[in-house]
Amino acid sequence: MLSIRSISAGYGPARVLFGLSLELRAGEVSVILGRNGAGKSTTLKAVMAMVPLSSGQIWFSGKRIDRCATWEIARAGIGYVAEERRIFPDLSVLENLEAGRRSARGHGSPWSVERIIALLPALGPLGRRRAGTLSGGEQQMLAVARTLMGNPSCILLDEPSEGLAPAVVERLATLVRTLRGEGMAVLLAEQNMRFALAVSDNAHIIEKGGLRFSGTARQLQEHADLSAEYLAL
Amino acid sequence: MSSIVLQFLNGLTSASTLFLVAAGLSLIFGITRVLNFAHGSLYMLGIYLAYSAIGVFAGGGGVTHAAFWGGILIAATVVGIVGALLEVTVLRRVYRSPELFQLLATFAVVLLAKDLVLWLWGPEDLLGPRAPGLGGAVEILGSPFPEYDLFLIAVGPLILGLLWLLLHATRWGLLIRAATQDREMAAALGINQKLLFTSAFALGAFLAGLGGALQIPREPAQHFLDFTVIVDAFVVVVVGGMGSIPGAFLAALLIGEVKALCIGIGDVGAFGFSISLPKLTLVVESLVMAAVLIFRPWGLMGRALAVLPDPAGARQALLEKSTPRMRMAGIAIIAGLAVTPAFANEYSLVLIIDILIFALFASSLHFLMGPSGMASFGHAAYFGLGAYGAALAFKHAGFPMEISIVIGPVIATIAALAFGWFCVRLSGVYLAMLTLAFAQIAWSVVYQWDSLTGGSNGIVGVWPAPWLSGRVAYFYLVLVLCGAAIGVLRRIVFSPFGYALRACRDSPLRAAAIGIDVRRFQWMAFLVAGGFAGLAGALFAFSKGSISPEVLAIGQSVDGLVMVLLGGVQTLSGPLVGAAVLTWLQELVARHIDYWRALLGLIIIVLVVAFPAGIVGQLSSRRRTAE
Amino acid sequence: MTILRVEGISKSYSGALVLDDLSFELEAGEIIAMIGPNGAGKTTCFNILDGQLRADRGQVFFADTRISSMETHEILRLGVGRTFQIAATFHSFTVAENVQIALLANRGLLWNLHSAARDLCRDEAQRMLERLGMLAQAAQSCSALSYGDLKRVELAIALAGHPRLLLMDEPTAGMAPRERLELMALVARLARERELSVLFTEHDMDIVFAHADRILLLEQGRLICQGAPAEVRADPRARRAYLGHDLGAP
Repeated sequence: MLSIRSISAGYGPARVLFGLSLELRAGEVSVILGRNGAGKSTTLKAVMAMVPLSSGQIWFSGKRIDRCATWEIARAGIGYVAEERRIFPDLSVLENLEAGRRSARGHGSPWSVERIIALLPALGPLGRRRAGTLSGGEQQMLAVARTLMGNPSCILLDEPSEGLAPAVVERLATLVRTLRGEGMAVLLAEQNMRFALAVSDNAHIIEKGGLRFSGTARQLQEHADLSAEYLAL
Repeated sequence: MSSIVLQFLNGLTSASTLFLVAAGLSLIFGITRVLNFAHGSLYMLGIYLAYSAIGVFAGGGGVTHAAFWGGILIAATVVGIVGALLEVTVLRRVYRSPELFQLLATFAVVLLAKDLVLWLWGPEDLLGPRAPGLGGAVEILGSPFPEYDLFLIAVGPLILGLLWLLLHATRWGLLIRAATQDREMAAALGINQKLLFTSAFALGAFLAGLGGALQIPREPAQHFLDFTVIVDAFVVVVVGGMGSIPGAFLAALLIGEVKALCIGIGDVGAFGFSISLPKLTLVVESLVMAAVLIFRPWGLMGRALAVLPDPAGARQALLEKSTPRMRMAGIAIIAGLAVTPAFANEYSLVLIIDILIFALFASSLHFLMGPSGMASFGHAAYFGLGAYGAALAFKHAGFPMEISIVIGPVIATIAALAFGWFCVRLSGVYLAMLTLAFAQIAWSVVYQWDSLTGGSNGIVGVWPAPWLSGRVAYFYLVLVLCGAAIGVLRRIVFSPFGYALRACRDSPLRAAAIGIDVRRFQWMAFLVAGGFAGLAGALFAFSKGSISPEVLAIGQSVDGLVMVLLGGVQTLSGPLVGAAVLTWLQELVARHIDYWRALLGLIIIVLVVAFPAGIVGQLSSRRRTAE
Repeated sequence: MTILRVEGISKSYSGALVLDDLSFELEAGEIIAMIGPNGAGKTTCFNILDGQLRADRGQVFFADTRISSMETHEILRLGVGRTFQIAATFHSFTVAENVQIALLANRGLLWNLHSAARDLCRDEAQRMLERLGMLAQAAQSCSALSYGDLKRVELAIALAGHPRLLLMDEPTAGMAPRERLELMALVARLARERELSVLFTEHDMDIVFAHADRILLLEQGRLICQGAPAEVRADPRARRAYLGHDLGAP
């Protein structure tokens, strides 16, 4: 569904990715693991054309998207939840959701505010609150919900568990499993390995802008040495 | 008592108009981050269009309600459409250009609009009809107050309310607010920015047009309204906070009332001087703005703007060092100039003197904008103060010409010392607007201090000393002084001081991290640039024999900007070429082509869109690729 | 001798505590790595040390001079050098001129409006570039360099002030893997030669463990453990900080 083909990217003269390739199939949850600075966020941003590619191609649902504008990529069906959440702080929770709304593209039942709140009841009573005043966990839920309102078929989550309390992380894990149940493809970038392996089918480890490991989550769990080498100290 | 109340009401009336223009400017800036210099022109277009539309609707008969209000609505709508067209044809192409080029592009639109208005409506003031049914006056505390002004007072809050509804109760408004807060994230949610930008521009233009059209019963349509209005709108937007509409409303009220208060208080005596506050509204207004900027750099209701990614191509290239060939060319030009008087006629000699003086003026501005990286919209302040300083020393203090010509630059340097201290505390668009505000202060002081400066008549009889009174002798004086000054400026650029300035521009962070006190160096850059501009001004005064406040008006600042940008900010010879081209265009082409400003505007638009590096920059980069 | 002493600095932004009572010391000639997940407060700490930010509480001493209320350029003049996460150089100059400006600034020679700057401190700049293996690029424009070379130029600029302490924020970020090792080996060699103390943040653990004498581990603004590399590696708190919080079994 989403195919990243040997891309190189960076910020100005600074290089972050060096010929990275990844595949994500429909209905699959994959995680990109790696220490910070390894290039996880940059990979997701490159998919969204928020970081320019210096080489390589990106394909989505049989269409080449690496020359498209960010908004066109979003409309093609890729949802993006940014690392710092980046909710619109002066807008209310409901307005944030409304800003993300796009009509559905055929498959699956479309998302509505009611359905979102049924899935994330915590957002229910917060509707009129200014989003900037929410707690970190609430902001994260809002960021995911806002992206869902665009009815994406594939969703990119950048370090969703960062800075969240364990209980909230658990709720997040449930949410990701639900999305997968809906047939959505999910690509996570994570540092929190437990959370990542708990929700993912496949795992990729990147370090210094290149792929070091690709396999199922189970395989990675069995190779404790791999995780120690690339993720811990 | 009643006069204070009336002045208060007058303040509210002008606040409404200010708000309409500023709200549009703020809306456009918030989302596109382009400061639309042409917003005053849109206002002016609104008032002219309303004049004609009402005329057409009324036919030969009386002005009916339908004709009047229909005319105003049509005028505003047409201006809105013009705004949308502008966005699509010009601005969309420069969103990724450096800030300065965006400003220049919108400024080119100002030039185009000015000539368009002159061409369509002619130079005379056009007095519009009164509003039917609102032509009378009501009595307030025993004094008459126009009904139409009361109506205008209501328009401000009404439009604020409508805008609020539009922004808070429609999906379009929601998307505008979202994109204003985080443009990139809005795009990541699939929001089409092109449509959003165009529509925001159209609405902003509509509001400016409406603000203009609604003035038709109150003031005549005049072709210089664009500058007066844009300066006021800049002040309001900066005071209120860029991108904040409630902020614009608050600031419009504040500025409107401050102005009204100045008029209400009248003359004030202090220290034996009599200061006429009604004449100094602009000074007071600018002081309010300066004070707000110092204490709340983002305005009353604004907040620090998210940093947008560096536009591509904004990086400065290496500064050219003079190659032997260039040095030869320079010597050849100077030698050529030195023998010019032998065969040039009086007329071309005057033109060359002008070119030399403006080359120095442009070089001093370039010193500030190029190596020091600070865009100034108000460089004419130093040029003008230099001119007035010299003229006053000569006429009033009775100094000989030789000394007066030194006093001019000294006065300009002192002004730069004061203004620069404030300016270096800000950066980017804010710094540019503060320079503009200071220039307007200087202008209004000169314009309105009749007893000293002669007001709008200026000072006459500023003639050089007998030994320099011949055209040729004065030409040599200008050639020597300007040539030397430009040479000195060039030397400074390549001196350790110049290196430090460029270092501060390239990376203030890095500069501070090697122990450079960035602000002090930038402050000193203001002094140098101001002093040399003052010298140009002093030479200008004695070359013309008379000066008027025009020498420190916005138009003069803008000429400087156009010269620098025409030639290219990144080159040292650019401002010289730019000054020559622009002065020549003004002197020669203006005689043969009526609408040469429009032509210049078109040239600028083409240059900015096609060659963002300027003429010389373009040539040298072509040369580099050829090599 | 203690070159840097940080005493209980705290900093919060709009209510969120970014640094919480952080204290540590750095001895002359020592190389210390500051590590931790994103948002741990490393960059904030650096910005307080060089005067770009003011701490809400606590003090910082550089060789017994209190620097926590001084301006950036004053602190840097005392003998502190700094490199940034994204290399900051003067991009409109050549490589050699970048170093010359730093040398001139160090000697207070920048208030000179008449000499040709290109000819000042030239030989010394060349020597400095030779040390860093950049002599071949001396006449090139900074904007034409590879990012790895840009980082070297920045290092040369920082060293031109003859600092006794060098602060490096992610010195190898954005570089190709091979360049990283070379750059840090160079820093370590220079530090030994010049008795320079180095405090750096880094995400590349190969580099941290190869070059740091001591490691400080920050998490959510607090120093959660410090010590020699082997000690930190063995500390379970460090492992947890990087591998994430406990979450119910999958």
